[in-house]
Amino acid sequence: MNFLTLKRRHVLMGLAATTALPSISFAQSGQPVSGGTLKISHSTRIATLNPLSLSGPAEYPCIDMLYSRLTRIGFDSQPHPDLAESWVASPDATEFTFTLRAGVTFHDGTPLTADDVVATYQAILNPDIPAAATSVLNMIDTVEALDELTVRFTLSSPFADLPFSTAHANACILSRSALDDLTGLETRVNGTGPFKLETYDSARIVRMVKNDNYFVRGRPYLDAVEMLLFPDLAAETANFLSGTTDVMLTVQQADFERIAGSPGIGGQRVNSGRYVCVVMRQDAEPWNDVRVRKALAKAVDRQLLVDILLEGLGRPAYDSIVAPELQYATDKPEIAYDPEGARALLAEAGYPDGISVTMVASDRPAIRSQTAIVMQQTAAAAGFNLDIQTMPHDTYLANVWRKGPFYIGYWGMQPTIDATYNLLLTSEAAYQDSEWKNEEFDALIQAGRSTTDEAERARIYAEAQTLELAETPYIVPFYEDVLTANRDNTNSWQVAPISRYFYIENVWLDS
Amino acid sequence: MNLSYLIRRLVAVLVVMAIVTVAVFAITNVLPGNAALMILGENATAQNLAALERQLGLDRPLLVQYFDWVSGVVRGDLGMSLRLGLPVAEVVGSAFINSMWLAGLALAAVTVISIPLGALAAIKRGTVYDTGIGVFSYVGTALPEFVTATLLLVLFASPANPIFPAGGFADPMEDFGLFLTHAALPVATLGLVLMAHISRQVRSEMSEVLSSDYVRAARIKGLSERRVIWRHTLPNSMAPAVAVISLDIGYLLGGIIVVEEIFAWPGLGRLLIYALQNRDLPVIQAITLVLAVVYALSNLISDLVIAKLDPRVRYG
Repeated sequence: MNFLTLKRRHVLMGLAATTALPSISFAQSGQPVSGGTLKISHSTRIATLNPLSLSGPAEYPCIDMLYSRLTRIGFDSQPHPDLAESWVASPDATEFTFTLRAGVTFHDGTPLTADDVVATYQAILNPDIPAAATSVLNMIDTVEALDELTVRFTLSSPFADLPFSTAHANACILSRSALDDLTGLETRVNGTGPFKLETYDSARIVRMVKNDNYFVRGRPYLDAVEMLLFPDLAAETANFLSGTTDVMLTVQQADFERIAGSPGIGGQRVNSGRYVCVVMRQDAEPWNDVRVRKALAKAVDRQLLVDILLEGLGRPAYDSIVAPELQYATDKPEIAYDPEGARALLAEAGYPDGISVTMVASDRPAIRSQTAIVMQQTAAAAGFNLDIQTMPHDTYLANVWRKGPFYIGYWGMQPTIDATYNLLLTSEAAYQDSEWKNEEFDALIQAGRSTTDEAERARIYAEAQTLELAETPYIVPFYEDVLTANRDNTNSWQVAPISRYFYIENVWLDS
Repeated sequence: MNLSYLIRRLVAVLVVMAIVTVAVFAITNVLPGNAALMILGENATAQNLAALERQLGLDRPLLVQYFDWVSGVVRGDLGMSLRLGLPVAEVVGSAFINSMWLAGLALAAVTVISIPLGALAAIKRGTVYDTGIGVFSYVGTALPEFVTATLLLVLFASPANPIFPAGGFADPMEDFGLFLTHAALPVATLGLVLMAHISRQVRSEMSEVLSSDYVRAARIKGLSERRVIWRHTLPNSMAPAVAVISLDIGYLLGGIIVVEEIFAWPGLGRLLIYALQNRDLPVIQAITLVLAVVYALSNLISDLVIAKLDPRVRYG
């Protein structure tokens, strides 16, 4: 019965999405018209187009336009069919069979077959090839092509969320021949996405043109999309406001009100699970004592951080890395700013005179050091004497990240609760940096993967979140909103909460 | 000046280049982290990191990496950019051309404007012209590029007053007019500081020459003021200005780093910052080599020009 629920839900979703998605996207009025060039400004370089390993904020929209995946996360944060038309899972969630759309071709005209999917997943799982999606797909044991259009995944352990993982931004389907030349992937593209690569100049512009053979009929509307690089924020803003560009990919909190309020421009804020966290390494004093962690939690004024750092463009968080948007997320009790309570807890833990510690914050993005500075002020009243050390991001990555005892982390939103926890908190987590290792928690997460019963999963994940709140492995003070802006002539421009999916094939410009 | 002098100078340039590459290689390797870590950033699982280091050849001993690179350079192969996956010659080559446009235009504008300005200030010493030019020069020298650049952006490229585009680049081969509008603000930013420098230099040198005995003799002889200035004074005041200009090329090469970043100019400076942040060693090496060569050669050329301007200067 349980597996039936899963199957029905996912297959139904698969069928519904082809019709449902357009209606989601065309909330704006007016009949879409074809043509035009959309100009998107961004401030971080597009250094590579290699979908296996890239991680730049401006690189994601490019591969979302150029490639397709088996599944794709919609604005509803659920997986929808992309290259896969439908899929079914075995009762125990260890075997998934995906059926591909018929008649899909790569940009060079060769047809997409199940063999290309197999080759792509073998590359992602190959330990000699750096691939960002490995950590959410490493439970795959074998991938085989049953026929031209059917692929079967056999998993080494149950994993009910596989259709989320196949939508991972870096799990783009490549052709088998493209995989022979891994260096070529950096600058050349042969995908199945709605746009084809025309110009790739990493220092300046990436220009993509309409793929007339895109598998969704009638899309894309645009003739071309240009991604324009402006490393200086003032210059980027000036170009956007004066109409040189149509979309500003990311807007800083401090500029949002001014930009969104300018004539002819609309700002968008999307609630997201992107968060800053305080990393406290728990294999040594003082952070191995949960009372010290709880004391620091009480010493953070969350609403103040949201008000002054995010200019209100975010929400306070209460020490869970699980955002409210995620399925199975529970309501988290508010943690009030309580310096006296924090002081009492510290004294109880054996620090009646408070604690002096050095907190490291990288300079990129600026929100890390800003958070550190505000925390320094609010925590002082609770007896925490924080010595803030800011450093260049490259030095931080090399010397502090996953090594240091006390620093500010910053993470994007993950598509599922399982992915969120397996990124940081399970003992085998890909980026485990707190040394908080809890067998009970690990067992819960494993159990959540293995069942397809929604009620059972809800119960398991509720328990895991209770454990997280009881132990406070991280201090998570707030979730940041994703901010973007577009000119009024640009319709259907939207950013998904995880900022990896853009559906630019649905965007159109007023003629 | 003779041929053997020239050859000796050129050999010295080669030696400088060799020293620069060793120094840059050593310093870059002292920096924490490597290209693989910077590429993966917070996607760096231990497995991915090891795989990428192997792929990029960063797991080899440093000396092997260095000599591999040197032997490539000797064969004319600058290698592949670690971050961008493109040949270094291609990446650095196009950035070099873009930067030379910027530096060349700035230098030309500065020379054309600041030498007459300095001369005028010297001739009209003590008048309102002199004071005006002096104030302008001091302000120019005092303001760092990132301030001048931002001020120019606000004044001439604000949404309310978009006289020039706020940064960006157009290919001069495709649309030279458009290219010039994009170049105007960065060139002005670079030019302001240099203009101050050179006009001050010309002014002080020229004032000195103007009060020298031979100029007095020329005036007594009854030569027209125009002839005294253009024929006898200016050429003699030029030698120090040329020396300053050649030193300023060194400054200019530093200035483009800031200016290119602000105005999104796809040149060497921006590429260098990017390569440093990403520990892209082959690109860093190539750019520092190019900058060292430009600097050394501009010094050589200015020495030759000075010898030409002032017959008393002899090299041998």
